[in-house]
Amino acid sequence: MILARVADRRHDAMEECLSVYGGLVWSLALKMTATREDAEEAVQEIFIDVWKYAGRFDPARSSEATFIAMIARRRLVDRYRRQAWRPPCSRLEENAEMPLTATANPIDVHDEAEHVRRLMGLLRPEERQVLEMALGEGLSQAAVSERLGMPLGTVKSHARRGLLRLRELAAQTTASAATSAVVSKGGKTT
Amino acid sequence: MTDASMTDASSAAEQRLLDLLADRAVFGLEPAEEQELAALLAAHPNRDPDALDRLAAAVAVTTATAAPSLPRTLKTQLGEDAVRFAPRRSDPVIEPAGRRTGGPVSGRSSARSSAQRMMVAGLLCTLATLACVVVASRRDLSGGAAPRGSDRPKTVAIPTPAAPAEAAAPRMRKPAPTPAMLRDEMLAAVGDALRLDCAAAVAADDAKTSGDVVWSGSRQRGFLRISGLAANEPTESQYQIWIVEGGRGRPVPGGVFDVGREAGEVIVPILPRVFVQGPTTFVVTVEKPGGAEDYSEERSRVLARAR
Repeated sequence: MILARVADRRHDAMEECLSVYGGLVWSLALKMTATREDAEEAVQEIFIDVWKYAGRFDPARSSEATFIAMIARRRLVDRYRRQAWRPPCSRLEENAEMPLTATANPIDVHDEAEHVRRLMGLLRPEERQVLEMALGEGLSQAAVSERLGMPLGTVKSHARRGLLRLRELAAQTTASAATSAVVSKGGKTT
Repeated sequence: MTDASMTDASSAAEQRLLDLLADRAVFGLEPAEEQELAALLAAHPNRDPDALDRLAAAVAVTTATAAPSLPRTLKTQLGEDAVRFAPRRSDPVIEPAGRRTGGPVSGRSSARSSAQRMMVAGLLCTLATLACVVVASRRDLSGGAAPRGSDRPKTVAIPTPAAPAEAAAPRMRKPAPTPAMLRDEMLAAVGDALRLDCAAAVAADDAKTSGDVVWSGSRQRGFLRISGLAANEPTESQYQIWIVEGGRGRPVPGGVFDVGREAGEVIVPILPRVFVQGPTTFVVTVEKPGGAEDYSEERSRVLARAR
């Protein structure tokens, strides 16, 4: 666990954290900021937050990648709302100095990602579409509305319903997994 | 109040709490909504406030498996930030400007001093947390924007635990560049910056209104420089900028601004919320406070048109 060592303010852990999760944070920042300079500034702020809040990471609740992505998204959404401006997403990646490559240190999130993808597939198409644009592409509510030709309120409703539905589905699969585990051990469920 | 109506009210509050948590996780909240959320969370202490944020983050992570590498200069800067955040025993303690009392502190005294400071910082943090708990929100994970403009990543303010006074205080930031400075920088540095002269949309105002628009398609922002507009009362009306594109039916809002009574020339940023492909005209209208959703030519005051 890198974050537990980061919480102890160990420099080797901080450097490892940058190597393993730097690409993830950079990717999110590029999607959700106006310029490359904004993205770089945001990444600096995000990692300071990561170091400050590393002690709050609970491996029972999420992967390290998800915890760091949560911190990153909060910072990026706050920056966006302060600046009240939606950037063009693709332009930044086209102008990036470094080519898009697979991260040098692959993040162990594939199981979680696969699980989330499977749950996303169970949503209504319009809910999935809005969440993919907002969370996957980093688009603002206004930008999703513009792209889909959908009123702002409808976009918010789909996002809200989709996320809450995703939460229900996740809870069901967790309960189902727990039940399976109990049954496989010869236990009883109530 | 009957048991049934109390149950209904509790259920409605619970649903509202979930809605706000979902909204926060996907698009963020307005300040008033954040206050409402803080009050609801205080009334529902057993609710995990981060659950939907984690879920939203997990969705975002699924799309980031082929992430770009960090730029080298940024990675170097992040390494320096790490040292400033948690100085190594062999590193000099970096004091905030104005607090330095001498040369670098030796490793042992640095560590002892750091431990004492962390105790004070911890106490200050606890007090700050107690003071803020009622209005606690995710803003504790955020800070103000720093200025931009150089090739190298900026040095952001680090809330190092070795500086207890900063633990409970807002981060120190450099003063933000003014719109006039940013406009000049855009004209000097951005190759695709366009400059369009303004003209009054209302004939009676023609003689007194002048200015220009500078716009960069690559940066997706611009600046309106205008003089001669009548002062507005912000509680009654505001000026709003619109961007008209050839291929788009509806003009895109570019932000609202005010003109004070003593203002001569004002320079305001143009910040569209969506990507603008090829602007042909910039229009200033007078709207209700906060601006309008839809453009109306009847309310236009100033035009800047590409030739």
